[in-house]
Amino acid sequence: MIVLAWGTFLLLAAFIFHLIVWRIRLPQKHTRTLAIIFYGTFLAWCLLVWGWSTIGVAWEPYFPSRLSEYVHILLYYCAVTFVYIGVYTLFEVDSPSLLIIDRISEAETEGLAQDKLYDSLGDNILVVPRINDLVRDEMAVLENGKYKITSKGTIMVQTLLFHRKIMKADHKGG
Amino acid sequence: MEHGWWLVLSPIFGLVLNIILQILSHRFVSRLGLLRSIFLGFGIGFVFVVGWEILRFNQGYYYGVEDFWAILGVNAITYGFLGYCYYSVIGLGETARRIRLLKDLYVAPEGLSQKEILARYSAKDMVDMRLGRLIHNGQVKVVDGRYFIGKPLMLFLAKFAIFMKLMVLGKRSEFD
Repeated sequence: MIVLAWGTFLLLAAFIFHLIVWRIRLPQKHTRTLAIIFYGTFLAWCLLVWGWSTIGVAWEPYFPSRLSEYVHILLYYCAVTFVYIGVYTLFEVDSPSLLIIDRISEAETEGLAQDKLYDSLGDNILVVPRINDLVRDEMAVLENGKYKITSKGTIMVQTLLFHRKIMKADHKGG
Repeated sequence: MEHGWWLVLSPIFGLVLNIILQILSHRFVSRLGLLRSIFLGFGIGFVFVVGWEILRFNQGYYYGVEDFWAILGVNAITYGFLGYCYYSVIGLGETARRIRLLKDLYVAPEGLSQKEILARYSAKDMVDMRLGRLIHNGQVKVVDGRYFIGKPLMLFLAKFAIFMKLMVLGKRSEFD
């Protein structure tokens, strides 16, 4: 029970802290800041528990007492954090399908004409921001008017290509 | 119940089983598509995690039912979320626009200009493809050349996404 209770409490605490930080000021690098907040919260809690134990506070019934319990909480915490950061990137970026639905729903009972839909969803909305994301995330750089992949981007592509290779995914459709 | 390492490792073992089965089934069962191989791997891994906890419960490792449910809950969530991460990594390589752009830059070491990138990824093609899918699924209707909302599922998802953006980011779109 202690793993579920502490794991969930720490996730809620980190989530609330993240909302407060976002309300004050949106960070430049969202994913990195989220990771710092979530893992920082866990680390701060570990230090707090360690500090209490060294000054002899009777904490046994309320806090984990074995290393395996801390690792169990960390694993649960990491799994939820990974998914939250992944889902967050979906909310951070406007999905083309959801943009289409949003535009059509705004037209209500009159319906949306085809040319208006295409005009409102041009390259500057669907493609250019994703190119800028690559530069912001240091996966690509702009040099002399050309976008070039960085070593960070290369590692990402090679990892995905390796997975495709071991699945033989190039030989059949998904 | 004395907390032990077997409790911690059960979702990890489940995930390893999931990945191995997904890769093997996709590689060797020719009629199994990517999505079905993902479901198969995830399902068998999940059965392993739940079965493992039930086995331990029957062997008397837990003090009570509450302990059992709490650990089962933690391990099922951990396994489910790790499985989702694996699915995201596979899906990332298949569909994400950023990754497709990155793959194009990878095979063009001399780099690509914005004009060259836009020649490969036109917004019109993207809208055509997605609109076709939405019409095919009944989410969008076409009446006299005008588009209307059909089934409400995608509309609900769009509203939910906007709600989450407002709650977390304080704006309804990345362009606000």
